[in-house]
Amino acid sequence: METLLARYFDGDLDEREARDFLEKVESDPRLENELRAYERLLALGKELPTPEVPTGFTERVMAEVNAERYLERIRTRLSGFRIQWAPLAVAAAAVVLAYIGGWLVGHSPRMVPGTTEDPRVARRAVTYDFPHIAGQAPATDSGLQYVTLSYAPADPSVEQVTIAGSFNNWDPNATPMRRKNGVWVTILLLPPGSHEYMFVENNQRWVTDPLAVKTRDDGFGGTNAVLDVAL
Amino acid sequence: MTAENDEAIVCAVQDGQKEAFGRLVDRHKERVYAMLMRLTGDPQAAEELAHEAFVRSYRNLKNFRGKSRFSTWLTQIAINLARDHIRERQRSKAVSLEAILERDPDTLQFAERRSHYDPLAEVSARDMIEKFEIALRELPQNYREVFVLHHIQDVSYEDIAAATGDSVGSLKVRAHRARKLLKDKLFPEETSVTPEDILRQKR
Repeated sequence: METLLARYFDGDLDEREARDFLEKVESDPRLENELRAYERLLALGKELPTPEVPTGFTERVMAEVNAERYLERIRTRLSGFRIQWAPLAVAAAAVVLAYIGGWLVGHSPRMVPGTTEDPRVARRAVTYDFPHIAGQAPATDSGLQYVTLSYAPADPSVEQVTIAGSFNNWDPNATPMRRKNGVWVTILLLPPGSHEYMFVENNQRWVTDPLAVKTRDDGFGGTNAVLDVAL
Repeated sequence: MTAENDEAIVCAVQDGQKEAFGRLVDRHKERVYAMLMRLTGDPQAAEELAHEAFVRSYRNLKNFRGKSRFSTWLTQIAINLARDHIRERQRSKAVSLEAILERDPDTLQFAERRSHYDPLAEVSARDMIEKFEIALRELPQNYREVFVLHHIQDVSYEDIAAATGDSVGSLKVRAHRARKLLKDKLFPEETSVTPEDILRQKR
């Protein structure tokens, strides 16, 4: 009977077997009760409440998808760059680094007066690849915007890159970046407005974003990258 | 939600309209999250795994040739992530349980007493669902997996087999055992096996 029951619930009985089985059920109250119990059980499975998807789920997935796209574009550019200009670039970079290396090492920008720190931005939680934005309310609800930033250090042996900026009180430990094929990426969740930042290599070396569209003198001899987040 | 619409969105993403992927996430997130929630019983793990399932499907979408439906493919990714997560969790649990028992041997006695908890009582429909959820969580992992996927999430045995590498036959055996364990726990009096049957079997 066990086998018959199993085959009945898996829809494996042919027409005749099913008819014989149901006739047997009708003539045996104990078997009928057992069958009804199984049916109630399966009905309970369908009545389970549907768990609610956390708010902002799609946005967080898309933020990472956008980071992937950003990486793809950078990889494409880098591969073309390597083939055409890499030898020349290495020579040029050596000259430039020798010149500016002195003031870059140990440079530490300060909190820019007039900027506000939003504690939601740099909150840390151990979840996704970008822990500082995980568990945030969706950008549309909070008025914040997702921004993807990437950085390819000149020295590939760099082991850690973070972002310090006006949005995290210039804390070099608050916003880690994630390395993928030599490019470091992170996603920020920022309120609209102007934000200044720098990349920090190995918690030591502060670097201006070489791809920054806009920069600003920090008043201490360094240059911060500026990120304008639209409303 | 039709497979046809999913295919159109998948084509759009493959053609470079990456933002369209958000529509796929919106269409499938409830199902995937619910499935992972029921497999893991942990909201945070379910969210992380669902997130990872979608990101992985995006990464591999360029190789998706439509041999199966997108929903099937996504389900298979999610099932495998859940399996890995549960395996990892069981490994760490085993370690922590050993540590607890070393500290407090009476804990095992307590756990054994709890396992004899009988959920049968005069209960409302809501209570019954709660009992069902508890009984489901207490099922052995490989039984719970197939029951959740097939009987709650409506994933076919063939699709589960494709995701896990198990045979359809063994999945059906596990599903039957899961149904029987749940039925015996929730409706213990409803059985066609009588004391006479048991005595007959023992002879």
